[in-house]
Amino acid sequence: MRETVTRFCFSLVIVTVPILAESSDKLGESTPHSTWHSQQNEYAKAARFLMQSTLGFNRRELANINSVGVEPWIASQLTTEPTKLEPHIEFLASFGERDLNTSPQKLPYHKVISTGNTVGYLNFSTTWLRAVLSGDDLLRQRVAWALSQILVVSNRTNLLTEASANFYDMLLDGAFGHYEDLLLNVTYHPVMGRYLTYMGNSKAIEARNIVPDENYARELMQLFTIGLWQLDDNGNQKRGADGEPIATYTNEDIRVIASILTGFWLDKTRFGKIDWNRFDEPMVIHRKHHDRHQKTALNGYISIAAGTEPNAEIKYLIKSLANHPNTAPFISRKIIQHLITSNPSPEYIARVVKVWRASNGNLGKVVTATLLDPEARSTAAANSLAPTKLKEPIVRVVSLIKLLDCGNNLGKQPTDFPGLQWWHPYLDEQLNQEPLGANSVFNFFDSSYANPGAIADKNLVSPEFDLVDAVSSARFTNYVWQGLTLGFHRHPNNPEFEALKCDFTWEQNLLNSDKNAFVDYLDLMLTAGNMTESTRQIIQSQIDLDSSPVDKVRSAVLGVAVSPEGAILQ
Amino acid sequence: MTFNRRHFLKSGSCALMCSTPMINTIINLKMASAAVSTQKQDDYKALVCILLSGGNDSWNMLIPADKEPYHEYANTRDSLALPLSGPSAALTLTGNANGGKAFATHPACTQIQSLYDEGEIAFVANVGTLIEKTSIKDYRTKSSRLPRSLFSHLDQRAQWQTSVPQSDEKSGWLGRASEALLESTVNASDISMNISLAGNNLLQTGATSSTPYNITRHGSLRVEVPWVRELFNRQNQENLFQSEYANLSRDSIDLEKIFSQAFQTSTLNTTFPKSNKLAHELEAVAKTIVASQKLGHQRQTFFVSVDGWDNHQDLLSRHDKLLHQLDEALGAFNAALHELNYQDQVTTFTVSDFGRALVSNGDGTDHGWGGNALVMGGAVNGGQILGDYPETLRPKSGLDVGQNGRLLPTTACDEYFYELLEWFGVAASDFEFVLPNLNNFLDVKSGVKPIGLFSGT
Repeated sequence: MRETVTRFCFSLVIVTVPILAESSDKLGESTPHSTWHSQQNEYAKAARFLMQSTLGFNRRELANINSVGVEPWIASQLTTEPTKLEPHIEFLASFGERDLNTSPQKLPYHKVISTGNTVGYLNFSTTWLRAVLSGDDLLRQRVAWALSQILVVSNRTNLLTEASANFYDMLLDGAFGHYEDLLLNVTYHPVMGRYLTYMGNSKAIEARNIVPDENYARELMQLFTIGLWQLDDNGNQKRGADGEPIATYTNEDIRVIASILTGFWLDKTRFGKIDWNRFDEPMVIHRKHHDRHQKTALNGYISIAAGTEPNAEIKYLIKSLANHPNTAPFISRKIIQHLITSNPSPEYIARVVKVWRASNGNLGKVVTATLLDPEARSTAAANSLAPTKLKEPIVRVVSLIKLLDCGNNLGKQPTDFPGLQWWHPYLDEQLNQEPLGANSVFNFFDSSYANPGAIADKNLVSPEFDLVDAVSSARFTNYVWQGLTLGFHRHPNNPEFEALKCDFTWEQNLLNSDKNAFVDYLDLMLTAGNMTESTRQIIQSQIDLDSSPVDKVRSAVLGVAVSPEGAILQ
Repeated sequence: MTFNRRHFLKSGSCALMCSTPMINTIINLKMASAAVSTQKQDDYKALVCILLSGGNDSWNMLIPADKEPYHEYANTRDSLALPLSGPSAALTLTGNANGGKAFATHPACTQIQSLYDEGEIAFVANVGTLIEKTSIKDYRTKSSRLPRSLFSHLDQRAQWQTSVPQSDEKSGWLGRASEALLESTVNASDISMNISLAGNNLLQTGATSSTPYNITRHGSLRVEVPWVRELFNRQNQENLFQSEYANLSRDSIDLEKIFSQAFQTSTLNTTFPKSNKLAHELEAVAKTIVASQKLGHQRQTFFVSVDGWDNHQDLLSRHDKLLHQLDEALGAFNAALHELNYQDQVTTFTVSDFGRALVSNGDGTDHGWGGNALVMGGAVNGGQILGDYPETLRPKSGLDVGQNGRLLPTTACDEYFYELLEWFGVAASDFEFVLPNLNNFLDVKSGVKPIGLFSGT
């Protein structure tokens, strides 16, 4: 490792000039050259921090955080307005019904479905990527992406593209607010209501043996709040006298909570009559279909008197679950795992839980504590392993698109650069991930997945490894390679719709001026300075083997991106 | 639970996932034996597991058709009950007379109906996760140990794969069975005998870190930029996650060469239905069976998965589509096995997260426990409802563990898996390792088969 750092230091003397020349011209940066030279370690630390706290970053953003400092950067990010998705989806919807494949105008979006005034769901990826690439709300986008994998809905089954954008905007809005408020909004959101099938959930009808739907009651507890097992504040399972973990609820509790979650419908008009244009407004509760009996669950922790006003019941239920002793450690652990490390130490979890409790689940404070925790900021081993996680496939790809400026000249208005598109009928198969495209409420990967072998044997977990197998690892390499050569958006039958092509001019200039400096640059931006000497040599040999300058750049980027150092955030 | 490692340590074979030094040698061996034909292997057997992910409402896949039981079924399920007459009537199962009782299957299951009547399909009734023998009285008085997190998708789906429902076991019963079989079976290959079309899974993960080999419906996937392999060829990674990632990436590239060489020459004349993901995947399974000898596999297991069975809503129309997909796929796969003359050597079976509650929530059903499984193959004691179909489907009675018709299983997963594995060739002495709870249900040495899944047993 020391060897790498030394070389890094040496090379940056040379790398400085082109990086800053470009920065000054294009981005108005005026960081002194000496900053880059003398603080190479600081830059590597900053790059690592941005890998934890964003979905990708460019040179300007790295320079910026290094000059303002991590804490002021977080503080300013907490107040940066969200870059929302709904305006762009609405913009697409304004075109009306069009089909990409048959339209004489080459429309920049996927087929618009004719029924229900609904934009084809594949457009969601484009809209999501536009927000991620164009906004200054880097931390908010990162946290919303994590939240979308905790409070999971999927537009693969609901096909409600506009409403899904509205749901995602709700996550962006709530990313730094109180978890309880977000959960209440999620509970009333028709997209969740439809996804977990409690929209239209009616009180029991005894004469017909009909009982309330238990779907949301179960996942609300199992996945969104308290989990299956009672936890200490450090995230460890409590044990009963028999040495076994203690369940948080019984199926009888689910039955009771399902009865609380009755009566939800889109609007006040007829219960059960769908209006597809109402999916971006909170659901309402029909008293007639709401169970008005007295309800007791979780050993009396939840207790509702007969005849309570239905909305008050829901508010009480969500407040009770959000404030249940388990929720803070259960959700804090998930947030840490999404941002920082698959295996946080119990002490790390306990420190974040303390902030959660003191702030009543303020996610802005929880995220800040997660990012600034000594364990997150350290590269040393806290227990058996230094903070480490496998980067998610989507994050690895978006980071490349951002780094290489493949979606360049992107404006903030929906009408700016409408040519940006990023959808693929098989995007989920290409990457095993797609924004709001999970196969089920259990997300793309299992948070308890332990890769068999050395990781499982050490009782560690590696959730993102759930997605890595003989097929997906080859597919990922091929996807990145095709992205670098043909563009990251490709249409299987229409080459003219290729988009998100990378230009590589800046990278070629840097490579031409100094090969080592170019590899150092990739080392900094893609591995946070962790590149091993072995990888460096392989990359440099491949650069020598390729004949054209652009191929040299593509090979080097591919190699660093798929290398173990590029794949693992450590 | 910790499994001992004798199987892996004693074995010199690489038929499970092996890490790499041997790979080049094996590639050379493969090239030298490229002339090996694709002729049928007489001593070959395969188990094909189809996961109906989300919880199949199998009480609408296997329906009581005698007057009184059907009346109870129809009352319990309200608008979700399938009719026995009319244009969308459930299909009568004739088979081998079903022990004097009448049964019907879902109207989408036309080929399943035929194969049942021809004796190539059997149903196993009310099977589910259990740790030990449990009566409804035991359940109510809490005098039996019960599976963890009953009615939860992730947990129950995992327990169907581990068959160790008292813990968060990280190995599966097919993975452990493969490790046991290594001692007695010739599997001279780098490619795992456990092949998945559904990514990583617990079922085919062994107790000694062996993992399945993953393919797609098109076979294995080749890396277009072969030089990247060098990046994964390092022994001394400082970071554990880096080294594991490197191993997986390197194996992906190396094993693809071996697999594709065997797979690409496999041909089939049977036509598989279009736009049916399961059928396409079973087509790849059939082609891999053709390639088994070239792969050096005398035993193979396959894992395929179909999503979408968690129908809390809109059950009738969604279930119809799913069962239609399953029916078409099974019909084509069975035809392919007949074409290859492998029908007696391949057994296909379904698993699911759980059976569903009998009672309706309006237009769907919630999570249950026991459910009905389907087994297909020439060796299967077909045309029968095996196990014990519940006496009554009335809620709050019989086997209902609550109020909504969640039924206590009367056949344990262990009993179901035992008979599959016994047929597959797992030795009696290995069941302690492969199915550690099995002796809570039966004495393997007695040779008694609780279900009677295979003819001649």
